[in-house]
Amino acid sequence: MRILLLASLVPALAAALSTSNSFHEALTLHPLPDGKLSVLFEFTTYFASASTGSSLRQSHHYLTPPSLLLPLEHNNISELTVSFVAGQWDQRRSGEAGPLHYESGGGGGEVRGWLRSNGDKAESDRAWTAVTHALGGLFCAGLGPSDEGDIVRSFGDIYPPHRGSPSNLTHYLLPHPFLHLCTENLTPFLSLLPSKGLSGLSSLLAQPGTVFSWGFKSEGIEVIMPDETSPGRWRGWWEGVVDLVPERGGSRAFSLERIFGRGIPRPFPEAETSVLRLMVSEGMSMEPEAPKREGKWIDGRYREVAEWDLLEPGMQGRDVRFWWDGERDFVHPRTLRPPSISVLRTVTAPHASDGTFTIRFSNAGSESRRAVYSEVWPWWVKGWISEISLRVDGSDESRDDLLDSMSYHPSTPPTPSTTSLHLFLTLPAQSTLVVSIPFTKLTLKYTEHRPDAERGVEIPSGILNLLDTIGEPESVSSDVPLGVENARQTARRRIYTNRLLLDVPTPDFSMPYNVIIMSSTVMAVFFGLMQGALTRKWGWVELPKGEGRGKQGEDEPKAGVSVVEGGAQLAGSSS
Amino acid sequence: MLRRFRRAQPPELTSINYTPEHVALAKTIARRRRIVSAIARSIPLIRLLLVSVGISWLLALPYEGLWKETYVDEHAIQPAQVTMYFDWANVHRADRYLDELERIANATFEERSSYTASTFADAGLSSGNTSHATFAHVAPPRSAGTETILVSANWISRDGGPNLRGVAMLLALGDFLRGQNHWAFDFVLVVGDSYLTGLEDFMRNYHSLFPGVLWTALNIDYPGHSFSHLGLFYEGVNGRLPNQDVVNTVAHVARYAGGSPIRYHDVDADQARSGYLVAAKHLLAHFSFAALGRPSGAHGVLARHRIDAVTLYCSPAEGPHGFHTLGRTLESTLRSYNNLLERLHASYFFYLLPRPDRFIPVGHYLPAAVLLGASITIGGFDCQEPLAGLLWLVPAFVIGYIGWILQTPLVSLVALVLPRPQGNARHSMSALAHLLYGALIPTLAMVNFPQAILLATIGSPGTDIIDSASWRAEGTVVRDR
Repeated sequence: MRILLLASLVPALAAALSTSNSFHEALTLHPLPDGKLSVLFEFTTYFASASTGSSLRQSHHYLTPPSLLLPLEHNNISELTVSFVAGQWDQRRSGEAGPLHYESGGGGGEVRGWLRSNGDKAESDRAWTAVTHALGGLFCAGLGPSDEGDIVRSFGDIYPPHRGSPSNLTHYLLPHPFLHLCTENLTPFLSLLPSKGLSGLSSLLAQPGTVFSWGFKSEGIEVIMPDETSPGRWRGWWEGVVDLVPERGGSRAFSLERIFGRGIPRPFPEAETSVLRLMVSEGMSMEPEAPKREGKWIDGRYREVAEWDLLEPGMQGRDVRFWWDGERDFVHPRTLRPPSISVLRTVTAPHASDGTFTIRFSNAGSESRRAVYSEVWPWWVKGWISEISLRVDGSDESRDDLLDSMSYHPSTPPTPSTTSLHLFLTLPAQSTLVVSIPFTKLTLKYTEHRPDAERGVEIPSGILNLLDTIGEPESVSSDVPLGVENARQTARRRIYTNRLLLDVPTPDFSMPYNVIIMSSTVMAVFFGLMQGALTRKWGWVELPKGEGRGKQGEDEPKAGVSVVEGGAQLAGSSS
Repeated sequence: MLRRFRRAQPPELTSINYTPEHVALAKTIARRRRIVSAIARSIPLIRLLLVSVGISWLLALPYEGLWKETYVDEHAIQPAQVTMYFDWANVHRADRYLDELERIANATFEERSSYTASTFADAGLSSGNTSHATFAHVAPPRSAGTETILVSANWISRDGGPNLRGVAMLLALGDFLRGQNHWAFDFVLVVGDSYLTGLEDFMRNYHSLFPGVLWTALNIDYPGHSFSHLGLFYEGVNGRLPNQDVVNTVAHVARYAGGSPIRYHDVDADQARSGYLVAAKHLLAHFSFAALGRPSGAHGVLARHRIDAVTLYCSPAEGPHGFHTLGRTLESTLRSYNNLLERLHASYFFYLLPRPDRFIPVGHYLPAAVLLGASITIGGFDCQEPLAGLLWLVPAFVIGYIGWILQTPLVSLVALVLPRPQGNARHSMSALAHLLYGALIPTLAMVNFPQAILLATIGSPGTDIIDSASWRAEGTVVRDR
């Protein structure tokens, strides 16, 4: 009887949950000007709080992964983003300041998030460490801090919370520039998705042999936990860049079959929406034609987006083909239009002990921009903050007026800690601002060198946070021509610099043994001298005539000599 | 001990030596003094002995007993272990680039530079110019851009002629590398103007253009229309040598992947001739570059930037090798470089190469320089007035320093008109100079053996000994006065 009752309850419960839970997936294709294609998978789940109102501690999960959400809930997390980036995003050749997904971080791995706090710092820190360790287990990567000091707390303004006021939230950032894509393993990511890579768009992604051969790769999750008023949202994204031009040259024409080896997959039954999008580039044709084409503001440009609904009956198994009219051999353009803002960070004068970060901010737009540039350094990078200099490329004149203010959080060497630096900059129109930050490398302890010490150490990407963006308006008057640009109409607020490897002064690791041998020898010789001096007694002896120092011996009949261990035997010899 | 006391003469109770122990001690001291004075008298002989052993050691270097067989120390390199993709289609491309280059061979640098830059751009690479070089950046799909390999070909070959085939090879390489996804490093391809200046100019600008760290590099020098051997030139500026793994890797790859025999410095290592003479020729060629700090190829300017590099010189001949062999050698070598996880760092920077496949480890050649240095040091032990000597050394150092600032040795002519030290001051100054050189030569030998030997030769130990003997005689007179 009770089993029957339970069985009758299950569909009702499922229905109740599904009203507040929904799953959406999208695949976006974005052809880039140098013959490449950016491919972005996005999986979004909206969910209500999983804990039931009962007095027992229990929770129900329907579309959401408990392994991800339970640690977050348990540790009072309000928002959390994990991002892994491998490879390099070429700003100059892609014409875009960063990948299609705006939440992608800089190089390597990175965890950041907001924690609901009650003012107890130690308790918040403990919760944050627990969460990062739990995620590390989930993503098979050492995501937790190797030391408490690795955690950065001054980036709350750079990553403002989606919900709630920063006053009762604490922000944490943990950069791991040397981490890669989970040792190129897709399973942790796919296992979080409700479709598990078996159906829907995730089955296109679940081909490690294909997707890991792509160029720049970005994988990440962003979780916003539900509160009393609004549901939660968790999004996972996976982005890669495919080179469309064959190795020996040819046409860029491509299709889903050619990229993924299969057509439109079997739909995931629980998906509310499942769409394929294409950001149409000039002269592009497609088959089948998209049922929906509209103009949209994306990343500072008004672009045409074609959209296919993959849930429509008859779509399964079909291929979608794309080509450029009349293109037989793709010719790489000789000049490429740069994105409105691009950033390049290099190290000049890289001596073993000193160097200078040179960061070049290129503003190709016609208006000056306001932005904050942020850096995070390990403790052993000691920046000379008073020596920071600014100039505009092409002139040697100092332009310190372009630096409005700065905020500097020094590290506390030699305990592992981080330095963070925020520069409030004005980026003048149509010019390149060059910021130089000299620094000294402090000496690492013998045990602090990473394995493969001679490689150097990667440091986190710098972040340029634009202060004057106005978002991407949803509703647009129909008379805006395609391709028109307004650099500020973008939801991309953060632009990351390229990755950077710093040479560190590395000892010869066989040296400690040499040092031990040398110092032991010195000690032995010193002991011998001291012992001799302390036990010697001084007295006089007379040298035989005609001997000793030849001719001169005659003038010196007496010579002071030492008598070793002779104290007792030479009782009366001292003068 | 006891026996010594028993043998001792009876003590004279009236003298100072009133115990047997005093007597024994007196004898010991006297004996010690006799030995010291005997040694002091034969110092010129000892120095002569040291010098002759040192010189014989030098002369023995081309003898096989001092050599070892080469091996690749860094296991990551795995030379010639990969499938190569460079094929005849790429050779055809190189030939087509060569036709174009021959047309513009006598054009201005701007014209040549705009051709190479646009050719690189057509191949899908970012390209650009510094004032004396053209460069292209290959960013393979899976590379993180944190480490970079440099490949260069300059317009002028090391033998003075145009290096058109080298540049054509580099252009074909740029086209070949794009889109391949097994590379973990970025590549920077550089075409420098003239022989050295272009590459040096590029390296001065490198760190403001690219973020990648450079560990290894290759320079292509292909002046003829075909080649019979690949000549490896490895000496950098100031006698700095690349890690021996680089030389061994290129040599191994050229032979087993490229299929071309190799030579060092284009010295014919024909087995039919005496092994000793061939080795001596190799060492002399090495000494001729390193002793004066001259680079043996355009790769040499990379040495001061801590980049391990060699020049691949295609010795002009009627055949049988061409772009195909060179391209495969380059590809396979770059694949080996691509395997590196960290900078080459084993203590493998000190070596002499007497023949392909053989090297002389540092422990087998350093004693020659140490012996010569020791001989000079001994010559400086007799220093009566160190302070006066030091005072007289000051003008010498000042002249040297001014010469270094003005970058001309002519300043040393000033020394001819300056007053000279006399008597004891002169001997002391000479002794201090001996001590200085005696310390300098073995130390320098560690980093630049040929230069240390050159310095020791200029010091001319033979005349020095005669000289020091006469000082000694003179010195005794002075002391007796």
